[in-house]
Amino acid sequence: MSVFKIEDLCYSYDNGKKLVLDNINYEFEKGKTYAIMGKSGTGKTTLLSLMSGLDVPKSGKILYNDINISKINENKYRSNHVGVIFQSLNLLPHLTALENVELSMDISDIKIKNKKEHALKMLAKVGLDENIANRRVLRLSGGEQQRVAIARTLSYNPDVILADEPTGNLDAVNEKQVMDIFKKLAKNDNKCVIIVTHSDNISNEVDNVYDLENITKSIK
Amino acid sequence: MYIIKNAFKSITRSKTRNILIGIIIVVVATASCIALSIKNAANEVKQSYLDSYNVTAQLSLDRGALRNAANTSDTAATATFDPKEFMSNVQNVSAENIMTYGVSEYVKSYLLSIQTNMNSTTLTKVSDTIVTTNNDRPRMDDRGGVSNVSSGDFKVIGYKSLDSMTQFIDSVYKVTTGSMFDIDSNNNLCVISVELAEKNSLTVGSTFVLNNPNAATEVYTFTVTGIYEDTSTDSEFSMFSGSANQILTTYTSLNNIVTTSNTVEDTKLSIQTDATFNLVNANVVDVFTAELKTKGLSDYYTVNTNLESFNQSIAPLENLSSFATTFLIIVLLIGGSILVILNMLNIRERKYEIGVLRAIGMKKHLVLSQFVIELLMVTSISIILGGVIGSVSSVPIANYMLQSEISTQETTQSEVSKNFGGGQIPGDPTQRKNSMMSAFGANSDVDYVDKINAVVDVKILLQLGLIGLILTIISSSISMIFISRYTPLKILSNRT
Repeated sequence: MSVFKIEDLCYSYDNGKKLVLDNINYEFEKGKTYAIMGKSGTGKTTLLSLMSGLDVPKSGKILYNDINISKINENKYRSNHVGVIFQSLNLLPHLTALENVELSMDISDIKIKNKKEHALKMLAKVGLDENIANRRVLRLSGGEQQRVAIARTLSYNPDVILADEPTGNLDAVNEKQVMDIFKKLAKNDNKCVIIVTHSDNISNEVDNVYDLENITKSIK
Repeated sequence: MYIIKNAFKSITRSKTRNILIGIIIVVVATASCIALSIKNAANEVKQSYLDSYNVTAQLSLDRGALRNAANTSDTAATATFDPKEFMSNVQNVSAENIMTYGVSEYVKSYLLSIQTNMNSTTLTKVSDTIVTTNNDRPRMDDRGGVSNVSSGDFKVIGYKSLDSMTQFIDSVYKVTTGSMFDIDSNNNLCVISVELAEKNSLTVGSTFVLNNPNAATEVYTFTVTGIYEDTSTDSEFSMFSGSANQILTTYTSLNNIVTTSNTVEDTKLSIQTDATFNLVNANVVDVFTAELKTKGLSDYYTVNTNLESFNQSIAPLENLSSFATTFLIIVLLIGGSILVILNMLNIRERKYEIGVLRAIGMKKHLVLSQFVIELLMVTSISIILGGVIGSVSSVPIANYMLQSEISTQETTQSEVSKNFGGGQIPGDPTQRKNSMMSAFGANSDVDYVDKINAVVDVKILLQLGLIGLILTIISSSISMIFISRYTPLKILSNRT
């Protein structure tokens, strides 16, 4: 059963002059990894923004568990149901890695007794120990920051993880490690992981690839 | 709860920005604290001075109104118009009127005396006196609007109460031989001056006869109960001051004389009424005046008070209070503007943070709350610091400023005095007393309020807190507009 469904989705810029998404129809299931691919300007990040509720489509629907996300409170949707890993990570630089994760849990209404312990667990899950957890994010490497961003989304246990170019700034080793995390999340934790990427390495690792350029779906 | 925790982290990790905001608020709070304490203390001193100040009211003829009425009168145009007759038709204020006016919730007490001039065939007056009245206020004779006192060698004054005998209360006159008469007596008991007693060899128990200047056969016998000395001037001057030929008696005695005299219209004694009302406080002057009008006081009379002297005394205080208010407004405007600008820059700097918080699902009002709490924390600490600095410095600053204000006032008065030829030397009380100032209506011997206790109390602290809250709200309003206007996607996409 699909957790996420995109129906007849259209989006344009400049008051309809520049159509970037034209009649998109995709489905996403739990326990699987997806890659949305396409050249620059084909609307990958726009699609991710629409799916994360940061923007609204010009026409068409995005359904989360068969409910149009426009009917769900946008804050509740973003803080509980989907986890977004932004291309620029969007971590708060004045906070430590641990505090970034804790803040995310605070914002969501997740009921966890010991939030700090849970946050450390999430950070450990992505391979960051307590020493790194207590450092300010600005003092972390790109790969470590990427993991903090992933841990942040995992902290409130969303069904869907949306990641925008999550390995764009990482070397091959880190890219592999991050991808392994995503795959584990899908297989072990039954998450639906949707990755917007240029990387063929990633497209080779995921279960499904949607190519926005050709509007085709390739199922492995 | 996490908002407060987050706000605290944000403050402690952006020290420079918050210290800068804090310093500005401390300056604003200190200045506001001092200004508020000065204003508060000035108002308190003014009120307490006003409460303890004996506000007196006296009635006097409004000569301007009379002149205007005479000029616009129908009869004024006729050849037979007699200004004196017109004036005499103005209803006079009698002693009975004064007693009616004195029964009022606005009057603590009233002083009443009447006087007339009489002659004597048995008494010799002390010298060719300069006949003066006790003050320059116009007096009303009992027959009409214009004083038409019979000329006579001796001024006979009848007092309604001992309180009315202000010269004795003020120690200007002192009974040196005998004693004061019983104020309720009606048998022409009197006290006379030392000079008059010596001139006529009168002693306590002596009697003498006075007569109506308009009817020599109308005589009244007085008995001396005491002899007083005028201590206000040297003996040589008192010969000419008019006080030497005064005969002081009771209101009842003199009123009986006047009543007897009134039986013959053409020769009746004219009488002057002198009254002073001690009002309960300065705020009742207007209502008391209105009450007098309803009780029948003619529109040609005005009610004069001694509030001008009061106003002069508190003038430096008023100026200081007004300066404090202006200063407070300026400080708040400038401080508020700087805070708004700083907060705008702060918001621009933290635009990304707002975008992230919104993108990860933090509600708009919570983001705003965090910013407001941050500002409130910085403001609270700064207001407390400002309050402490202000409370330590407010008293000396307030008194220093008050002294400067008094010096300015004195210098100004001194200059005015010089212009009138008074040649007053600032700080020389003797010269001040003798200056020409008073002759021109300026009171040169003003007893200024020269000290205020501008302490910071709970009221001021509450006002400071309110100022802090208002500053926070005003400067937060920028955050409010920004946070409600921008979407997280817009903020984040502008950054990337």
